[in-house]
Amino acid sequence: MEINFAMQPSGVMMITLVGRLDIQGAARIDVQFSAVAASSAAVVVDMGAVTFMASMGLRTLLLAAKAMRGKAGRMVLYRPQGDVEAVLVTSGTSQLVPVSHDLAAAEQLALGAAAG
Amino acid sequence: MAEPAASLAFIAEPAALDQLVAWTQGVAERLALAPSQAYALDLCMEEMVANILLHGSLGGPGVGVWVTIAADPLRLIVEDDGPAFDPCSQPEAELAADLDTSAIGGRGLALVRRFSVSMAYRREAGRNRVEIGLG
Repeated sequence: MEINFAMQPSGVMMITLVGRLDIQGAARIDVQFSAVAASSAAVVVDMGAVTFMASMGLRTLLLAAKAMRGKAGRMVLYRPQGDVEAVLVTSGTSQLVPVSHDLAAAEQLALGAAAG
Repeated sequence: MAEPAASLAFIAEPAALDQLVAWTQGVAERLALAPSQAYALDLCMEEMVANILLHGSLGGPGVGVWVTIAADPLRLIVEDDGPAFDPCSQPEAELAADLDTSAIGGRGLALVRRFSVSMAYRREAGRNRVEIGLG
């Protein structure tokens, strides 16, 4: 499991996850992921290269999203693939942390523009 | 040909996970599972073993785990000699309406239910035995 992050010109912090967000993958990135998310007001998580995720991965995402919420920040999940997206949807997580397959829309959501 | 495809025994501890993941992927490849079947197997394996790591530790160290992947139809059988725990009798986790009230955990068994077609539990000879049908 790899984690990379970069501030975008839009002001969104892009966090890119690569590999298996399984029990061990989650343990590997938890601290860094939460720290980067919690210190940003708008986060887009690029999940396009996450090949596997189950409940421990959801826990990682929800912990960070909650930490951001405490500081009025927003997290958006970008382009989760196939079964990874099914995990987000069937667990109800996508109702708590929005999912978008369009980068511009994801950035706007994270910046709060679509929330009016 | 309803033969057991493969079995693996290990002690429930985080250090066993790497081997378990590699083994599960190897079996999935050998059985030429469709990607969605391989994902469901992977997910059910992770959730069931995570549960044993969590609940099994209540009974002390050294809980033994035996996993079997059987084909035609595909199913996963997970046995452990930890304290009795029936995943089938656990209530479905409630989905929170918003992030503020949402619980962080408790989604594992709900995912297993959604990614499988059946789940049966029995306690026999001091072991929990869960059989998960994967279709």
